[in-house]
Amino acid sequence: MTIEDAARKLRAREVSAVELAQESLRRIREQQPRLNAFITITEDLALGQARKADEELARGRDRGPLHGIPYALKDNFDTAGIPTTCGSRILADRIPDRDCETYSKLRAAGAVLMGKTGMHEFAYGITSSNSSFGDIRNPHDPARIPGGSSGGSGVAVAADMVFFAMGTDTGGSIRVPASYCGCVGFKPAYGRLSLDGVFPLGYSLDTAGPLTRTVRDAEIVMNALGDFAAPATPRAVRIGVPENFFNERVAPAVAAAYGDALRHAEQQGCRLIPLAVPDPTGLNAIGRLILLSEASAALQRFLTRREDFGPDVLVLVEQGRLISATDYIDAQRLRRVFQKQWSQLREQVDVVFAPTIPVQAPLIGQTEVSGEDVRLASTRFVRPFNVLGLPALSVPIGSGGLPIGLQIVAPAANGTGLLAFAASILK
Amino acid sequence: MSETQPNPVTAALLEELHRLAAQLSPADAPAVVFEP
Repeated sequence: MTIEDAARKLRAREVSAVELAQESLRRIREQQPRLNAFITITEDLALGQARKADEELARGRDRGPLHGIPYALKDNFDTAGIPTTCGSRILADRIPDRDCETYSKLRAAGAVLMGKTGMHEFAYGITSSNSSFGDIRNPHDPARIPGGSSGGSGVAVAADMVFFAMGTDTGGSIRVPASYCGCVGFKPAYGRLSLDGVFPLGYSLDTAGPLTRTVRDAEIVMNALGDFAAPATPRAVRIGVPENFFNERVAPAVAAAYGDALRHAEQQGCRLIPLAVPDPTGLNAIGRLILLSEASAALQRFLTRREDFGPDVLVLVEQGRLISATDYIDAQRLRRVFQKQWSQLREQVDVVFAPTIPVQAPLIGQTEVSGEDVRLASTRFVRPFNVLGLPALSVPIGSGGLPIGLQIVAPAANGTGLLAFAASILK
Repeated sequence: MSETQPNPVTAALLEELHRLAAQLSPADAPAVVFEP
């Protein structure tokens, strides 16, 4: 069931918000031992919010399409009075005294918070294998990673525990779990959604966004958070098909599903435009250096508790402190150069299609896939769009087997049309 | 014990950065600037 379906049933009195919350809790309790998607389950709060939603609807107060809809927040979104750990034992006892802006807006929209989802420690990694709270597992095969860092959010949506979950994306952390778990993940343009009360990782890269079952549901959540007007569906869209980088070292199943998606778009009236994209390898390098520097600035205060870091995160925090200010500034200067080069693509295409990830979900503990580091294979197609600040969406494609994601990117920062376009051709 | 030297992964990233940065002109300003 989608958000749209549930909203319709709520207003037709076919289901109540309390019943939706109870069903969500049943699914969470049933799946939690197997998948470990949640760090905190807010059962009493959820039932209270659901009762309030029902009472309001009964007396004619309708807060919109998220009214009474169960959802989850990644555990780096501050929630007053509810533990917010960032997936680290260092912050295991942290209870914020104020809400992040996202939670305030979703509560005002009548949505029902079921809990806080697990994540890669401090959002600094893409496996969601977590030494503090345990490994999060892929619902399609619990021996495999769900991706990360918003792994619990991807699992909670893909395993039907909630209708949507919020994640953060600094180098692919919404789109990677969306691709590996088989749901929709939307990274808005940098700065589009408020990060007030969201624990920082990469100050100039961080974005917040929704993971959902459908593109239309992502639009609904974005509208609730940003008050964006729904744009008209574009016609005769020009789709850029990269002829470099995004076709390198792609697993056969991913390449086949991607080819099918291109043919489907063409059948929908879109034009496919072969495209040479400017140096994604360079973009990835400067993106990783910027993140190393910024994340160490955010996290180095916790180095007094070195033994409590996961070993993978500790290495990154320590390495980031070794980047000179000159190198950091040069990376930010190059970012502007790349941004200008990529903005010229707007003359040729309206969107770019690429696989979200060149491979399918690796096994938990697997360090290499097709001879490539799992972390690099999982992020090399997604990180460039954090560096460029562009909106990017991952949608499930393919049929059967492990999930595969198609990444749709708008070469302009105004991404409101991206969701409308994707919804129109992915019927 | 803290690390004091870039590991091979970081060193390779810095090498790539230095290769790219050689193309910059002094007028190329950083993406992050102070906004009063």
